[in-house]
Amino acid sequence: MSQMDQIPFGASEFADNPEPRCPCLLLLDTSSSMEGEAMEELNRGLAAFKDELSADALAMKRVELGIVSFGPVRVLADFHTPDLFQPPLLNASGDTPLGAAITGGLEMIRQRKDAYRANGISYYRPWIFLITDGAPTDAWDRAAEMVRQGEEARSFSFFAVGVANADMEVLAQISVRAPLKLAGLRFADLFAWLSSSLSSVSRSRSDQPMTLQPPGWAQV
Amino acid sequence: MSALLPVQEVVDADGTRVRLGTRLGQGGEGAIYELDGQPGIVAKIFHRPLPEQRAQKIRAMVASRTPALEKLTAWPLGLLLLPSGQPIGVKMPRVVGHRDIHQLYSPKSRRAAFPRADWRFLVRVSANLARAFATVHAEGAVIADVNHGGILVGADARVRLIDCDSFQITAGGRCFPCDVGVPMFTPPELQDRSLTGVIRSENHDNFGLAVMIFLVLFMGRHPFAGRYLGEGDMPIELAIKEHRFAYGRDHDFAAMEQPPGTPPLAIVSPPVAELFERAFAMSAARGGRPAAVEWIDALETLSGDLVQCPVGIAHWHFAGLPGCPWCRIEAGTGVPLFSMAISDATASLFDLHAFWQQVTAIEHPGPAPSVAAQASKPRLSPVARRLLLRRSWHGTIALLLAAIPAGLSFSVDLPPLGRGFFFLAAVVFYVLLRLILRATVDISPFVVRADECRQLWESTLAEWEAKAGPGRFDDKRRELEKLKDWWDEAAGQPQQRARIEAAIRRAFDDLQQIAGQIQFARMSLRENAEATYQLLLQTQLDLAAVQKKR
Repeated sequence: MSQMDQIPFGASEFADNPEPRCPCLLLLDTSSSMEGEAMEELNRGLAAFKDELSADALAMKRVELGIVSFGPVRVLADFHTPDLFQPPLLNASGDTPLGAAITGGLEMIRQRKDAYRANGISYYRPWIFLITDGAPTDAWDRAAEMVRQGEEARSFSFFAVGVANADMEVLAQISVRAPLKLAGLRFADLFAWLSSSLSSVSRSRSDQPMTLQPPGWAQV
Repeated sequence: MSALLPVQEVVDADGTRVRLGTRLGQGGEGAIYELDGQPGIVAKIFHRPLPEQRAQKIRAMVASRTPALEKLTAWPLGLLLLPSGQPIGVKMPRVVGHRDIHQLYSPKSRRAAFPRADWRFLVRVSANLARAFATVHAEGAVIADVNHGGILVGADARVRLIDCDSFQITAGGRCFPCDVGVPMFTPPELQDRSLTGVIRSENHDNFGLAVMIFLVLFMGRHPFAGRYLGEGDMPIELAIKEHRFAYGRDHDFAAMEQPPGTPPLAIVSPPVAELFERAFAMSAARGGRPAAVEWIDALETLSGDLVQCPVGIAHWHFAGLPGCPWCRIEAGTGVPLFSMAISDATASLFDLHAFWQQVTAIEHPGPAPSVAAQASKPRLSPVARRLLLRRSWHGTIALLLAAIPAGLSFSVDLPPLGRGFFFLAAVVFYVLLRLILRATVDISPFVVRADECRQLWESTLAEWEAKAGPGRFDDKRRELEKLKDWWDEAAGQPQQRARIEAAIRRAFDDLQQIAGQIQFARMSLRENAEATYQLLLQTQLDLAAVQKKR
């Protein structure tokens, strides 16, 4: 490094921890229909999620969590390693602007990738996890198209999880992978699964095709 | 995961019964247990009986144990069987007081896990790593699956290799290969290939060794992670395959730039730099990567040629450099790359007053920024505006209606008393109408909404103050001040001081973390708090407007 080299903003985070990153974006439905038990379980699941990740020293350096809630669309956490992540307390209110949440989330991922590239940090394919209990109340065609293109270009993996009375048909049109239906309100199981999947992705080995553990929280 | 039958009873290869103790850990393949009455040994018990080939490999490994291997690795000690005779586990020496090598090489985890490690320590670990590889190679084995979880480092810089059952070994003329690898440490000629049944060579191991030494000496940076100047993504695997060493003399040709805030290759002295160039060169795929023994020599020479920076007491670097590379990087990134350096001989002489400079260097976050300052002037909500508009017509409507009897009183020919009566009736009529119209306007929703918003604002503000305010930072600083006083008082009590020193280091790490959490909270909570304040202003304005008497 010569004295004249410019150091981009954000470089300290990557100088401190140059491990390859595995970004994981949660798109969480906080529309008013989630009010009550569903919201409580989701909050509890998020708090447990951090604890699960903390048990794995390597995942703590590699996984980065971002959270966008929708109803209305709001960035609750920009991408950060789990040690700096404080589980937010979600409140249910508003409608279900799913399309806007997806396009906003994809933009966050794009910006994060730019930061990785500018700082010479390698990264794994980002994960996007959409959790909703309703049907979109805004236009979602463009979002669905962007998801399809992104999956095709392998720029991210998109998973959709439906809760209770979610419109699974719309989810199937948005997500290239078949959407999964959450059994009951088993958010805690979902996040435990997500944590162990992220751990295994972030230490992937060749000759082990990436088989994720079968989700025990999904309805068959 | 399905419920696996807990293995209660296992026997040694010679049939003696072995008692499993506490379970120490759980992995994908099996779990690790203590063995009752054998403190230096652990058992790895697999979830299902081992296939015959795997059992044969372990038997062959046990038979080829040597003292040299035992010292540097957790070499298998023997098979464990189910009472039925099926192989189910393996006995291994227990490695205590060591940590994964990745905890050492990134600055963030190094400060907590290896608080005494400076660059001298890192050079020593690198040389010891080369010694471990050289020993394994001298015994005719290949590590094959080189990775950050398979190498442990002790507080004394000694290295132990674990997960030995994945090594490739040759015994009795038969080769037992290793079918796995971690892409970050896999040489270009094996990238993108199935490793099943591939016979690995020392030259393959030597690539993984060079990557690992680079990670240790270059602050956790991977040699093939750089700024790619071409189009699209350049993942590490592809960069390795295409020989794009970001720090090498051919980096222009490879269209790679080393990442910002990283030291140049020259910091390791010319002979060591040359070893990296050879290990990562395109031609090295055909053989000719530096062998482990070459690294030992070059790194030992380097370790005898290190000097301490006069400015940063924790900074040791190669004497042949014009200046301290660490000072420059720390100034540029603000990241402390090493904790306070304390030589092993004087380990108990913790220099608190030098350490205190690091404590005071953590910037105080200052008071929580006001989330009210940015608020724009509130405007009436559409609902309130509609209500006010409707109410503004009330006077006119009442006046028009009351004008009827009043008009009558003048237009019709009546005695003065009659006129007075009509006129009075008009006035009463007007007042009544105003009262009725007022009753049709319900302002209670505005009261409720204003009240709800005030409560929401109070809880939001409380959360903001708690998470974005300096309170937790101040508490931790006070704790450190108190520990500092205790330290000063405990002069001449080395044991006491050692305990206080540990507490000070812990509190220092906490303080750094709290500072980070506060910055993070300010970023993540601000938008919501500002929006809530704006809403509060609006509901109050609405309420004031609709309550105003006309």
